[in-house]
Amino acid sequence: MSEPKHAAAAAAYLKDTAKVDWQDETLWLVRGKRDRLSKELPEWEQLREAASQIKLYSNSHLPELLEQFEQKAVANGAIVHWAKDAEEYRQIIGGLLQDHGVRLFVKSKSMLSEECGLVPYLKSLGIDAVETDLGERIIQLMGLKPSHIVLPAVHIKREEVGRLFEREMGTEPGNSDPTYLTHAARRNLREYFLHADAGMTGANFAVASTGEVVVCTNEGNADMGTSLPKLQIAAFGIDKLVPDRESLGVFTRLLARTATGQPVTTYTTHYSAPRPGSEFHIVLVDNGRSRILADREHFRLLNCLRCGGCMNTCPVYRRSGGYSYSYFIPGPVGINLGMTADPKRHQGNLSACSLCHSCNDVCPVKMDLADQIYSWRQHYHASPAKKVLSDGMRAVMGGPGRFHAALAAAPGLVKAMKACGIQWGSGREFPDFAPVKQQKKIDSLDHEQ
Amino acid sequence: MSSKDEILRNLRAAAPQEFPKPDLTALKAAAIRYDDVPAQFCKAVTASGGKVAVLESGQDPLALAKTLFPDTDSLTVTEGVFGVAENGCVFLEEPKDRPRADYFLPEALVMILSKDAIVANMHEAYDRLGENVTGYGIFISGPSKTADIEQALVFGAHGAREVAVLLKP
Repeated sequence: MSEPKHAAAAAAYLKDTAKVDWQDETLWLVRGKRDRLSKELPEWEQLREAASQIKLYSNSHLPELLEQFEQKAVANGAIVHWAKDAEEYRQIIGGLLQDHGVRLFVKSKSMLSEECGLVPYLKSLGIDAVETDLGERIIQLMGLKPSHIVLPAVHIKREEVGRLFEREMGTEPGNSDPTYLTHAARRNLREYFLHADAGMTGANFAVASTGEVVVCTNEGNADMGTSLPKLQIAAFGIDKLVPDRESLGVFTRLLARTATGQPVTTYTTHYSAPRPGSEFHIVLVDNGRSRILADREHFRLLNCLRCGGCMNTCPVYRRSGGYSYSYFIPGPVGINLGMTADPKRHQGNLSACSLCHSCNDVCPVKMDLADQIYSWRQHYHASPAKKVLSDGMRAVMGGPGRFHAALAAAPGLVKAMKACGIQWGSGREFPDFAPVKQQKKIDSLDHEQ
Repeated sequence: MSSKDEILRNLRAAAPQEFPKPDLTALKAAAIRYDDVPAQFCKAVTASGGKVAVLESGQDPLALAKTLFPDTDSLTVTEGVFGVAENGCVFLEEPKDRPRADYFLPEALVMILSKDAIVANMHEAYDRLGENVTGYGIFISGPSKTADIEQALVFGAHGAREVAVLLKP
């Protein structure tokens, strides 16, 4: 089944022009911070190139790196599980929580858990999974999905958060000060941290040479959630593997600079052994990644760090919002990942790209995102109207006779179309034709010479 | 067939083009360095929202920490292993005599660092760590923070609201 086209969803979004402008400016601010930070490092482009090469190396050597990782992780005292798909991922985590009698479960942000529908599944088992990243918690309490992968609540206004927290946490009516609201959430979530039976994180990186899992956050929610309960779970896609700590030097320099315009996240935590008296479980998840690896045109998507940089820079994402895309990851990388997951369902996102290539230039691991969107478009056609136009243009351009005949007919034809109220597109008028054709001017110049 | 075997089989069957492991020597040689490493470190700690104070030899770190954060009794004072100048990080290991949570639960976290234990950038940081595993390790730069409400920066999301580095000369 095909989801509604991005263009139709975006048209609805664009009706609230004040919110559109605010969203655009907010995201552009983050992009601006990224630019400033990247320019402080003369070696920035070398870093991106190295990151891209390390990812291509890792993803093309996954079997040996995964086995090395598992061997080291087990030696460190962790317990390693393998999940071939979303269902197995849900069952492993659900099973672990049930075996340990977990009622209250705190989790930090993980796009994989969104990908695999973990939280609704756990709810069906009677386990309350509490999101602890502030943005994720706001979204969860509102019953929404993230609209951005790093800034999940970027589309929510402070007044909306104020009303939500008044209802959920008993904050002062009418107070929407971000500091006040953040500290209210701090007090509220601390109760969950202190009483949780288990804590879960995703991973930013998993290091083959050491068997450790690296998690980067600003809030410290992952650290709180893994420092108190007796059961710790880290579940992540197999594309998170990097070969060694030397490569972490490259990625930790790029990640936060691109994602939020900071030199580094507040916390960069390396987990290898369980805390005394507790268990550390690691879940390695495929869920379609080996299929992407086999795709000659799209395997570079496995480079992705999920930094969100391509969203902040994308002129279409910035002015259409995360919810206009049918896949749970929006923006340039989301268009591509959605196509690898279910092309029929997500092809309506392919139009959400002007091929400006800004995403390619910003991407810290140099994914060719715009080129990949172009490549999908060759196989999945957009609208029937566009097909008629393309075929028409092919016929017109097919020979000099046809071309010149069309050129001669165009001014009259366009005039007639305009008279009937037909335009080039919504908000785009046909131009008026100049009285003397450019070709004639060129011919006369040639003549003078 | 186990899921592990199935995943590994699918990955091998994908038979991707093999890319070589890049040599990072040139990048690491070109990476940013600073004439005055401790000064750059202090600048980066301050930029991340932390404080820096000098701990004179013989001075009590707890007493100094209390003068920095007079409004709270909830603080952890701990030894940092080394610092990173480019981003103001301090590397901490598994705490020896207390739980990991002591890094995150208190209102203020105070890390003691020797002035000559500061590297320029994250490449040097990971070179210093090497590949040996100690069970746990964390880089911390400044206090816990968030900008999840309208991109307004707020300190004290979940971890320590305030952070200071005490530099030993």
